[in-house]
Parts: sequence; structure tokens; C-alpha cells
Amino acid sequence: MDDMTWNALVVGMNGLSKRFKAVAQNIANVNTPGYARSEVTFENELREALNMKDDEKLALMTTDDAHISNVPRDVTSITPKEHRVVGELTRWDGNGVDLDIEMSKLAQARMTYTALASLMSKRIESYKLAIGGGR
Amino acid sequence: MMRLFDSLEIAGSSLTAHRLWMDLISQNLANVNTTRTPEGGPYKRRAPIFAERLQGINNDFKGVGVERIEADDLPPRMVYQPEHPDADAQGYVAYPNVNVVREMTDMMVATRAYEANLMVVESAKEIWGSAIDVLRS
Repeated sequence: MDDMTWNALVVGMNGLSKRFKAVAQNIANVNTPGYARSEVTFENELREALNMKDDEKLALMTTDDAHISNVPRDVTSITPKEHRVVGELTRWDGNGVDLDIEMSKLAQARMTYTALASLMSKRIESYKLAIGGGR
Repeated sequence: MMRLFDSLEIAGSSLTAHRLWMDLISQNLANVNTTRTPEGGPYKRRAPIFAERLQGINNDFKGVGVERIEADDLPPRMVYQPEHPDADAQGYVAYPNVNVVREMTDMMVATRAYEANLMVVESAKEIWGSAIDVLRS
């Protein structure tokens, strides 16, 4: 299904569930000495791919896996990236988790995910409507 | 690969770890005046050592675990009580190195962390529920 909205929803929900897991890991390790918190990013990449005008969609030719492509061409090719934030300390024991920030990230991921899920349901409804001929 | 209930397992591992910590805190508080132990000498404060859990080649998140339980090597609290049966030659009794204030603050930290993880469980239930609702539409 080559539906831009649908693909963006899938990428968003996939990224959010991965972030949710990273936040869960951070909160689980709130009392682990020396723990470096984990972050998941995908929004900027998704935004770039969605805002791309048609004439910008010409990708550089890559004939080898080692070739560097210019930005993500396709929304479906976006994968959420996970990285560790090292050296950012909130406590004397070397732990980098700020519980307040993690809780707000948790709430944000939860609300956005729920919103995307209901958008997905709406999308399915409109497909059903189209398939049923508007009856 | 991402599995559906990973977040719940992660939060669950942390709930277990923090409950164990609270068990140790109550053990410490219960033994705040224990001067005799099977290994001899006064009771020593016990503390859990938390360690992050990762699994597989991708270092998949698996939450947290208590690696081991350590006895605190802080010196005992010496109280002058010559009439006490466990008093030494100078009349001092070695009481456990348990600091009640510290145990109480630790208990608050453990409780807050426990609550935060419960919040993760609640959120996980909600988001997977919303994903399942997509199937209903």
C-alpha cells in the first residue's frame, strides 16, 4: 500500500514504541549506579522525509552498500535510532536518569501513540468507506 | 526485533528489584538493635547492588537486576552500656551500623522508583490497548 499517511503512521508508532521501551529501561534503572540513559530519535528524519518536495526526491545513485545516500528517500526506510547519553550526570553515583524528564517522555510517548492509533483506525474507516462505495 | 511485552518485563524487573530493596530496608530496621548474629558481632546493614540487564548481541533492554546483596562495612555504633551482656571490657556495646534516618530516606527513594515503574506498567497497558483497538476498526 503506497499510502504516505499510513506509512508515516507506521513509522511513528514503531519509533514511539521503541522510545517507550527505552524510557521503561531508563526508569527501571533509576537507582543503578553508573547507568547512562538511552534516547531514541526518529522525528527529525520523519519530518524531513515528509516535507520533501517532489523535485527533491531524486536520490543519489548507490551501486554499493558502502555508498552514502543523500537523506532518507522513502518514509518506510526510516528506522528509529537508539543511542546512549554518556557523561551526563544527575546524581553523584554516576546515574544519568532524571526521573521527571523520563516521566514526561513516558506521558508524551503514551499520548502520541494513542493518538496515532486512533488516526490509523480512522484511516481504515475511510478505506472501508471507499471500498463500500460510500454506502 | 521488538516484542510486544518487553516494556512490561522491563518495568516488572525493576518492581522486583525495588521490592527486594524495600525488604532489605525492613530487615535493616528490624535489626537496628541486634547485637548477636550467627556470624558473630552485631548485625550489619544490607544493601542491594543494582545492575542494568541487557540481552543478546543487540544488547536488548531487559531492565534491571540485583547483582548481589552486600553487607555494609561501616563501623558499628558504640554505646556505653556496662550492664549489657554483650558489652566489651570498656563497657561499650557494638550496635548495628544501621542509620535509621538513612533507611527511611532509602525507603522513600525505593517507593518513588516503585511508583514510577508502576506508571510504566499502566502506560504500557494503555498503548498496547490502543494498538489492539486498531484491529477492531
